[in-house]
Amino acid sequence: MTETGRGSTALVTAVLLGAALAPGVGLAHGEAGEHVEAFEEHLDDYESDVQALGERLDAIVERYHADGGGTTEQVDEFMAAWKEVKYHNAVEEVATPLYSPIWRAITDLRQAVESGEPAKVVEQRASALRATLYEGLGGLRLRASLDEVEPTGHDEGAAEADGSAEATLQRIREQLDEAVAAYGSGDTEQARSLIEAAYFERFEGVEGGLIEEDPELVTRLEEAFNAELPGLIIEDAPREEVEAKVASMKEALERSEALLDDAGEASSEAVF
Amino acid sequence: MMDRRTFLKGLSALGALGVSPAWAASGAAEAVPADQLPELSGDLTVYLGRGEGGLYKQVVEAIRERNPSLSLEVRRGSSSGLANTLVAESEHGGARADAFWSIDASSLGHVASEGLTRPVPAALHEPLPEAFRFEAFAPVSGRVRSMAYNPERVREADLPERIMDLPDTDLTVGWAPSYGAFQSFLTAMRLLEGEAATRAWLRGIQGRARSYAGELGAVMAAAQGEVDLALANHYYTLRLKEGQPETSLELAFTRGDAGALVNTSGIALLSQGATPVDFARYLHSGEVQRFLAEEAYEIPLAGGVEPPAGVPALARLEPPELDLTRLGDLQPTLALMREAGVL
Repeated sequence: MTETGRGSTALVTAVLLGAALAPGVGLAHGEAGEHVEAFEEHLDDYESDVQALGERLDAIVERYHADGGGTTEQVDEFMAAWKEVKYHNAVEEVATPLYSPIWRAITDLRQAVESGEPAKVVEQRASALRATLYEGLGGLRLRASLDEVEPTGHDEGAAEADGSAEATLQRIREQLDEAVAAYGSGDTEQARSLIEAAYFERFEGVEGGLIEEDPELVTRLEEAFNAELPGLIIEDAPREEVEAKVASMKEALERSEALLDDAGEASSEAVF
Repeated sequence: MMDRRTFLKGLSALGALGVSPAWAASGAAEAVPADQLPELSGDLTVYLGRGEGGLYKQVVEAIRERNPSLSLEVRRGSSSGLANTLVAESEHGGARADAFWSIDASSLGHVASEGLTRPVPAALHEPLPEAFRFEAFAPVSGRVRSMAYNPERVREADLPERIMDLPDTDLTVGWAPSYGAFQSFLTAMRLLEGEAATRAWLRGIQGRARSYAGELGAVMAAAQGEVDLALANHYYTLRLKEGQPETSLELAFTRGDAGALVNTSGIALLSQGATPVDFARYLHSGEVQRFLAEEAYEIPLAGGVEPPAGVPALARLEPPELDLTRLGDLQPTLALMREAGVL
């Protein structure tokens, strides 16, 4: 998958569903740089930041290859650099849903280095981290392209900004598309990671109400997410087969959305 | 945490009265109505583990609406991902959240093991049973491991009272080894019974076990007669029967071991001050506890709140004594599962 493609998808997610913070909203634990107030004027700066961070990742991978292993020192230096750049504050405040994934990818890379994983794994983790950085940049760009920004007034998470099953299922479908793209580009680890995240981080959160409506549909999706689709990837199946499986899963997810909508899943009892 | 003998003694006495021991009378005070809680104000950042179809989010939004003077910032993500984020943030400038409401105890344990949590004050322990009073986090609601079985095929009397006795039966088993809930259950077994016993248990069952991609699939297999019982969290059976009341399926629980593990969602306090504590008290309010029981089929932990309809014979429920934060120690469990060929 291309970095641009990932960024575009995530941006649509963040913006169309109103997940991003309005620029300039202060954090509870400190003020962001003034550039965030006019982040759309600093996109070139942010791109430079991402490129510089990418070069650091290249250096980490090269050294790891050369030395047949490595220490976490370089990753720690990368983290320090990430904390310092303007891009950090911008993505945290303006494209907030894309902020945590960057930290997670950094942690994944650090763990790979710390545990002495093969260079191939470190390279894949670095690649995944780079993708999240560009995803954040894509989010900032799309955000800037909007004529009008509707502030949400508080931080929220990606497609599930409103916490609805509809938004979650939409994000799952996007993640499946991203997985196909990753598979097509040869990044099977990223593809499997996306499928796993789509299921365990998202589908499990909406399956409860769906079980009451159509348990067979849920079990078919369980099989598809946890066995069939990962199986195709492990077997190195032709891309067309992976695409066909994803297409059938997306149909099932659309069916799920309709069922939940009909059931009035949003009409649950008030808390207080 | 109370010692096991005291805990079991309490269970026995309460069982005789027909009262749910773990929930009703092990020291838990009545859940406080929300209108008796202080109004929240000031800034508060909560990291919220995604799950339960947005119902946790709905709770947080309701608290926000009820407290207009509160400036509440919420960041959602997977519980494990947020735990990693908190640890990474703390290593580089300090954690950015005041509280972390996670769907599972292991993520909370991960954060606690890094020294990021402050001790839970007594005020938050009061509405909880003694067995659920931890220093690192305050449990909010629970889910219990169960044996789902079709009573038309299997007699309850044929089910083992101890999970470790399951290999000695001729019952066929449905399970979902890739599921976090199953792996937490097996981790509990490893911590309670030891690695050798857990390895023997896996090997003893493996020949009669059928793997499913998810725990719902295992439960449905039990209902349809593919297997005699399914090892799964309780709510799959409740959800399934809610949608299909004619389904022949019942729940049974083992006694005092990993087979009856009660895992919980919970909230960890990350910063000082009263607001995070008071926020957590809202999660223990009668209204929120009832909401989670009725909408998410979770087991309320605060005193005086009814469990979800369909959870049978609570007086029989006998969870093991276990520090739930230790369930995050997953790697040895995964190694055992791979060694046994079930993962």
